Amino acid sequence: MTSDLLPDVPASSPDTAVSALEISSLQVSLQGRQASTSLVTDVSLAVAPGEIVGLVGESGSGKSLTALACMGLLPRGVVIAAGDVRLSGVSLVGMERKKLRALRGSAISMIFQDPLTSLDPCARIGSQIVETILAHRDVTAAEARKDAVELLDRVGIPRATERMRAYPHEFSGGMRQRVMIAAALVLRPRVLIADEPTTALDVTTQAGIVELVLELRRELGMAVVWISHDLGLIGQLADRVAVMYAGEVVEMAGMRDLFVTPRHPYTHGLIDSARRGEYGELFGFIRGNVAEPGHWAAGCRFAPRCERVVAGCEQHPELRPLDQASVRCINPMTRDGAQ
Amino acid sequence: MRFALTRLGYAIIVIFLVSVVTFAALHASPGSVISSVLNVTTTPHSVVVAYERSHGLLDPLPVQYWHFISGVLTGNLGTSLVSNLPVAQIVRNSIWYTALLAGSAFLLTFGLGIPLGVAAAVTEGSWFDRVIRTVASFVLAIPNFVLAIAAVLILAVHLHVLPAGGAGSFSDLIMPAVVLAAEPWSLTVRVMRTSFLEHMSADFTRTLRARGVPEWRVVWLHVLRNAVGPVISLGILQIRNLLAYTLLIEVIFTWPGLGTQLVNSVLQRDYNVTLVLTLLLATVIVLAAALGDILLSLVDPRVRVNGGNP
Amino acid sequence: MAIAPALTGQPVGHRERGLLRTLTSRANIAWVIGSLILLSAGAVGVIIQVVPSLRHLYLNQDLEATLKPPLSPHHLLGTDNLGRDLGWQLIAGLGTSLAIGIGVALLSVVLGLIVGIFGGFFGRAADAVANVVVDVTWAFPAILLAVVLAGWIGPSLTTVILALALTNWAGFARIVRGEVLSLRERDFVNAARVLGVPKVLISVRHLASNLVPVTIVLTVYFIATSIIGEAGLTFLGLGIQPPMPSMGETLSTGREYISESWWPVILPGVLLVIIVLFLNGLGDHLRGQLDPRGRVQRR
Repeated sequence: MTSDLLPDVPASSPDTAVSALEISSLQVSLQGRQASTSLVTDVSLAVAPGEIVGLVGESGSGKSLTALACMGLLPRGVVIAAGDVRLSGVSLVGMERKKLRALRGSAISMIFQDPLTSLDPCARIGSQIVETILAHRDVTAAEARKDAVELLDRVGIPRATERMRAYPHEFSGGMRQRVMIAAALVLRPRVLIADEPTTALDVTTQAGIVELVLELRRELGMAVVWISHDLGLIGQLADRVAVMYAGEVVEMAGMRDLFVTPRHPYTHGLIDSARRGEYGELFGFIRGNVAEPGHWAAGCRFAPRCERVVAGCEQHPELRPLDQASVRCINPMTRDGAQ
Repeated sequence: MRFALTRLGYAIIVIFLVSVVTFAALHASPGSVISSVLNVTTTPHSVVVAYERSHGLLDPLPVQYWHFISGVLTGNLGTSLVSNLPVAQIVRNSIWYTALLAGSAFLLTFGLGIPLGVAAAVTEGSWFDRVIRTVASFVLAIPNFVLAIAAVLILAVHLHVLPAGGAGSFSDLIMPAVVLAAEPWSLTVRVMRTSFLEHMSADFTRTLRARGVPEWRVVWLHVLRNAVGPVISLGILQIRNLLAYTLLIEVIFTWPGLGTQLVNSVLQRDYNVTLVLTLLLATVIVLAAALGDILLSLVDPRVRVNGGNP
Repeated sequence: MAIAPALTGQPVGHRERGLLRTLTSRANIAWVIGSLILLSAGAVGVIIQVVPSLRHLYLNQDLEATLKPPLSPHHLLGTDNLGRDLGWQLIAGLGTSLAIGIGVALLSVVLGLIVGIFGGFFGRAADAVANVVVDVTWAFPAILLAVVLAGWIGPSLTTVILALALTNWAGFARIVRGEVLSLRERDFVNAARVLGVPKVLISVRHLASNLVPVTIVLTVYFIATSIIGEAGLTFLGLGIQPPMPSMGETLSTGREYISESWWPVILPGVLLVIIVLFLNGLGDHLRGQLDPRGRVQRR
């Protein structure tokens, strides 16, 4: 099924020219009665097979919406107003719903933040995985169950065969998240989008999940987009990082590069406050608050909070390459540290 | 399974307590029991006392209770003080009528309520949805005996479309059943609709869609199964109300069921009948609640753990 | 995270604004006026029953003017089968219903508070007992309870009040219990106990402020259900006996003459519907103002 929709790209060759997932100039808007409000503007991101890209930003920055847009799961009234999302080169925007559904879960998967509310409480976990398999593959229920058990075992659920018949509320948070991962990866998708999957878990459990995802990435050669507001976590995982603020990407760089030499003032502020904060979370040491969609400044959206504001910041800046990164700023911080 | 057994066990205990309370209340003073048989003021005191003794009315209450219970368990429900018929026969004559009426109303409530609630949710915002909601709100505003009388006035007296009372033919059943079902139906539709809509945009629904599960399965299997929970809980409440209102409706439409019998027995001070019928209804209510809880535990596995409190 | 929440709605606790100002505010004024109208009508209804020289207004039978339709001379709303003025009958009945409704509601609330606090606060065993009591009460919906009580003490005003009160308190007790249980968990209660504040003081003071809004809202709903309940029970003959006026009574006798006169049946019905709609609306409104967390459910 997937094969007639997507080019036959072997998953485990990281140097292919075709990105596993490519987002170009994505714009997502909320359609109000009279006018629409932009929620995400001009977001471009490419993820190569086997690569992990971290997507960082505060709540309201538009990162979850970007992810949902890729999956075609935007809520009612929210639409992709412009731009494209390509999966292995095939455009998903405007694709027929049936075809898109066929790709979801089999070629591109997503896992979510709260494993308690994200699993059907009335369905056994085994059946939830089997259901996913049967939705996309023409196999017998018995074969699907075998696959499900193997996968549950692989993600670290002890006594997988028995536990197939268990319900979500019988598991701990970490285990539930593993079940979610199992269901999301059972069909070996090319792209996995992880929307803050460990935010609701304690640090130790979190480490386990991260390790699991890294292993699976290696085995399956899949591309991963990991969304988080936790810079420390991103630092453990990502190859490249995109920083989002107020609905747009403000900086994109290799992971080490970003941490050593943040260019956008916002990124610098994030890293700074992460260093000061206890768990690497954002503590709003950047003065001021994020404006809500619809109330963004006309020029640079970060200008009202920026300490490096100069003349020219009332023009909306473009995302421009700088060294090996891209920045959306006319007065970025350079290699020499402060100025 | 274990949940079902414990729940039923508890129900039996409650039924026992209920029977004690009812018995005690009705037999509190032997004088009141016999006043429907003998005119206490004119009959000589010795005759009264003799009568009381021979009917076991002077025994201590627990003994009387024991006599009663052992009678019930062997099928002897006593005799009507007014008509001298065995109470068991009175029950047999009227129970089917009540069952028919209550059953029809129950069917109307859930048979119409659940599908219409789901339909309203699925077509949210449409004229259909709005019509359903308006009708439901309108019906809820009117106390059901007022609704009944108004229905009789309009449909029977003025339009002559349906009969005003009695239980001869099928058309006699229509008005009482519809009026009885009106309120629970409205509530069921509302709750079903709200619950369904909430679950349609729930986190787990989003996850299912993210896995590419076909929409029909998401809606009709997963969402429906989760959404029906609150409706079942409401249903338990409704059965109780249904039985209570049946009394009222039966009287209004002169439907010869347990309700009319019960009300008449109270007004005629026919205690033996009152006692048995009251206990019968109370027992059904308690059992219905237990069954409802068990049904809920089948649908929502979380209930089995928490003992009825999801 | 860093987004400042938009400030919506009024601040919790109107004490700073003054009671009078709150009552006359735009949102509340309509309800206040409505309540005043209702209460005055009820008061009039009670007064004409209590003051001997006024009783003729609703008691006076005029056998030459029976079943006169509304808008007849001297009888704005018509007369019933005994020639009594329907308008005054309804007002008197309204007074009875309202008085009973308020009485029953208060009784239910008091009972519910006692049992709820008892069950919620004083340990597992007490809670279990309270639960069983509630479950036994559950087996007796109002009508059934009225039947039992009527069997015991005969149909009367007292029967109605007791039946309705004993039916309603259980639901309230459950809410109170839930509230008590959640308060027990909260830190400040534990802190107070550590400091040696006696149990009783804790229960009274801290619970009061949390329970007052819920109680007020529920009382309004209870009044509505009690009014309907009384009308229904009296209609069946299990409640108030004539000559005490009641809308249920008017409905009941009116029903016998339904083929000749619609007004003794429709008018009390309409009045009941209006009152109930108003009270439910008032309850909803109060709930919006006082109980935003939605602990109260109307049914």
